[in-house]
Amino acid sequence: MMTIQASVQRTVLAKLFFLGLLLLGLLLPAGSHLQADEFNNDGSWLVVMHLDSDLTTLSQKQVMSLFLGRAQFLPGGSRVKTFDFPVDSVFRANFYHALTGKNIADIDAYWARLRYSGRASPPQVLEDGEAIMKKVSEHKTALAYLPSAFEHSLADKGLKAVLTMRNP
Amino acid sequence: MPTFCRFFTLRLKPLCLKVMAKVTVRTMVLTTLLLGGLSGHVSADSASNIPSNNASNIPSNDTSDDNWFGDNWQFNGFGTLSYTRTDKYKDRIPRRNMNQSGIDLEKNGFLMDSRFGLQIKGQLNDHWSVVGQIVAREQLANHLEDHIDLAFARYQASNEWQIAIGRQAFDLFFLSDHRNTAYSYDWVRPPTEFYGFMPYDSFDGVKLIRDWGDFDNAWHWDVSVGNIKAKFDLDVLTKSSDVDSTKAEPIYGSALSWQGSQWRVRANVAILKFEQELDDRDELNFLAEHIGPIWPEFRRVARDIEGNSTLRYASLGASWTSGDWKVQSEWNIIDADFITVNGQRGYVHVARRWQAWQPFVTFGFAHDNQRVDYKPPPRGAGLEFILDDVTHTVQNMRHNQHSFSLGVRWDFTPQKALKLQCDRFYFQADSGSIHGRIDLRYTKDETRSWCTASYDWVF
Repeated sequence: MMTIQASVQRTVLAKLFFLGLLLLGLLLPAGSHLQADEFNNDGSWLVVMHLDSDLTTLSQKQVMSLFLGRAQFLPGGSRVKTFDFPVDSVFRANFYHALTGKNIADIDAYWARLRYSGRASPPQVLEDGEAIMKKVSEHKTALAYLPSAFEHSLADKGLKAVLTMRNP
Repeated sequence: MPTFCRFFTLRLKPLCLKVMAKVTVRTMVLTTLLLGGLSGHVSADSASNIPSNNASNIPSNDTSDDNWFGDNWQFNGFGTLSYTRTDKYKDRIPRRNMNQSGIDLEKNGFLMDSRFGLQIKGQLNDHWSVVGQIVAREQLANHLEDHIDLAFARYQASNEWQIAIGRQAFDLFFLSDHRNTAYSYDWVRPPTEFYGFMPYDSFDGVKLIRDWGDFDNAWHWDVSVGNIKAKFDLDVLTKSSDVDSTKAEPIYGSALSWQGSQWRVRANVAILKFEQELDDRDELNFLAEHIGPIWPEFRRVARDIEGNSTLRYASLGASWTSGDWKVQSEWNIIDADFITVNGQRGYVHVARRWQAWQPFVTFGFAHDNQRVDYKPPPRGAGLEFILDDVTHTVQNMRHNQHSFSLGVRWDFTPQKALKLQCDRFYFQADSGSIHGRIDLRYTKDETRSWCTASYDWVF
């Protein structure tokens, strides 16, 4: 009798817990995945570097390798520093889709594989576009991306675009 | 068994174990709610402070403005909370890996795939870094050290070469170094035919690594030497206190992988020299001494069971991704001197992403050689029952089965995913499985299905 009761109790608890999980998923801020960023973007992306960098251009394949950690060095041999928008940024989701054709969930899973194997860490996350421009202006080998709305601020901040991309 | 429960008297030990089981489950649930569900992305920025760029090269010494642990330290974690109706059938218990206790899993459907890991990584200078990772999960070996998956120091000698010393992943397949981080792959659990029979996550030793390539091709090669100690159970009913442990020393392994824009291919080879630590070794030797003169072949049986022997392993894997499609397959071949697994295992996995949803289908198989070629005892000796028993035991240690898995992953918010996966297994007669029968009677073909819901997150 006790066994049956315990079994029923377990089943009920399990179902309740599963429902709880579903609710947890539904109640979490659904908009966080696509929360509004500080600028509207027309779908164009600027891959930016320090104004004094020797590089004038990078190919999309080179940028993809650098942002996915497959390459560590810039053409010319300097070690790159990459910067990123926050994980819930719509900019980040759209940029990686433009760059790789992949959903941001695939990119996050990819980085989880590298991070939790102790092998590598993803690009450093900064708060917003302003913070990214500031960081890039401090490092000659820094690499970041910005929506095209930032284009007119680049020179003032000591940056230049080495690649312009459009969303597919 | 929780270590400190060993200190209780026989009467109090069951109570201690019961309390610990409850505490473990509650801790997992609370941890999930606190870290996975409620804290959101609190630590996302601090977790990403080092803009390292290559999967195996020196992270830069850049700093983060809001890093809790100093400029060059990162603290991250991952978890999975899952439920499977493990008591669905009265005669078979599913397991994720043979290092788990079927008894414990049957009692608690949350235990099979739930896990929670914490990782700390430090960049000491341009050359030295350290990584530590501890994972809470259900397994037969339950000392604290058995839950430490990573604890190594890495020296970056040049842009291409590095050496790592300590406890680290033993490269045997694609998921060798992250199979506890379910968020990083599509399944609730990797195909059990391929991933479930190997009870090791890491080894203690030295790994020499070379990474090279250009923007089109990334190459990786490593060679490992060290030792592995693990507890596992070929049956499903053994308690952690009863199980035999096995030690492989030395082990040698090497991996070569190539990654292009759409393809990832890897090959692994390994040699493991095993020492079996059997509690009933004396009884076996006693039997061999007395039966040997009548049936000399029994000495060979005893040697095979006692087994200081060698396992030779080779595997090949390929993964192709294009846009929203992903196809991945791995295949391995095992050649062992001892009487257990000897054969091939593999899987084929296809997934397609539609925005946040990713359905997938996987076919897995395990095919061990079932032949048992011991010479029979002399007629009239009355030892035929021993040969029958040995034959059944050996066959039960080998796996001949295949499975189909259907599932879906829902990335409902960044760095969190819900998954639902249903597996249908086809077990062949006269073969065991990690999803073993309680009565150990594998006399006919059988099919079984289990479904699992899980919640994965990283932070």
